[in-house]
Amino acid sequence: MDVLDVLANSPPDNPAWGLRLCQVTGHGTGTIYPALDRLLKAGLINDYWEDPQPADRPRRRFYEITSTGRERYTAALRTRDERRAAWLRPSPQPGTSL
Amino acid sequence: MNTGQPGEEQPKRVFFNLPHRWLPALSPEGGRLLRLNADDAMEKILASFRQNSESSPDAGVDAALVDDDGTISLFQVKYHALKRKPKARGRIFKLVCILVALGTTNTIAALLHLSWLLNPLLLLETLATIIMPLVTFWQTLPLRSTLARLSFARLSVDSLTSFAALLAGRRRLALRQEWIAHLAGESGHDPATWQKVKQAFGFLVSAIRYRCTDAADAAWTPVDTILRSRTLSNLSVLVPTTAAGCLVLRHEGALGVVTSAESIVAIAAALYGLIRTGRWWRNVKPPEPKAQRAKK
Repeated sequence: MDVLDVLANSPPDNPAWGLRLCQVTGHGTGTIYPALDRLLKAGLINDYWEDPQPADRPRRRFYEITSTGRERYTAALRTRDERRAAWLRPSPQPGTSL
Repeated sequence: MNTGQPGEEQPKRVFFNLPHRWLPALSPEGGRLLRLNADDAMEKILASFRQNSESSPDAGVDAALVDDDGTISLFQVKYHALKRKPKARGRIFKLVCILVALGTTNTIAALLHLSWLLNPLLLLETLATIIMPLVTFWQTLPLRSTLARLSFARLSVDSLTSFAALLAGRRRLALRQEWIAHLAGESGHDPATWQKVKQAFGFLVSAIRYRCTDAADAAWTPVDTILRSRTLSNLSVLVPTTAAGCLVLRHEGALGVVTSAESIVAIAAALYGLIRTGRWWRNVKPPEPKAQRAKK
């Protein structure tokens, strides 16, 4: 969810890549890369290589969210918000009528 | 150093590879320069030298900004690779002095029959004799600079990343390049630090997790094949049920089959339930029955 959060909010001119995802989410490389692999397999995100290759540094692999991924992300976000709202709703005090 | 102001015409810029760790010393804000060959980074370096109007040899960096008729014609940044040489010479000289002093004291002690001083002196002399060639060897050979450059962190990062990429398998060859780009950082020239070693360990964990996922996928393949096929699913329910029925018939006869009918049905129901649950769990849908397909 954290990864999708970052990918959904990344601007197209500055796409997310491994290091940025680690920095923004606060998760380690051992968590981020397997998560990206799973999301790629599920078809929720796409990957592409930096083009053209920069001369002064290694080429980066960028990730972007697909339309399916965005739909699933929005749905998951809605569900999470509903669940959170239900959890945070004050419970009725004993003795008060419903 | 000549540090003239830039003129009207576009200055000629010469770029040099410089270890990233030396760049903060040049930045006027003290911040990190993200890209060495970016124009803004270049401007920062130039501004820093205009401001300081001298090189910073203490930081291990020297610079020359040549003003040619009011135009910046050359900008050069070079790293003093041999800046420790005088220190090395001093160290060797000190060791030679110590050795000479020890030898002289030893001779004097022997002449004066100071036995209480002789033993520790001999020990110290032996130690100095062992240490001196080692230090000389370390300080003078070009091997030293090579070894110093290949720090343990650098070696660990490289070897861990390579090993992780190897472990991830042939299907994920691109990961090595991706991880190298990750370790290069935002600047593309980040030095190898212990933080990077930690990240490289993360790659190793990733590779292990990839392999575990692959193994789990491989283990699920035969199950998925059964769940995806109607015939195989039916057979996996019917064969054990029939086998159980036959077994009961053989040992207890037809009456036994009648009395154990509910157990046999329970076996069939359990297997059918397992198939349905498996299809739901694995998100697998079998093809529609032939009759329905014909209707469509």
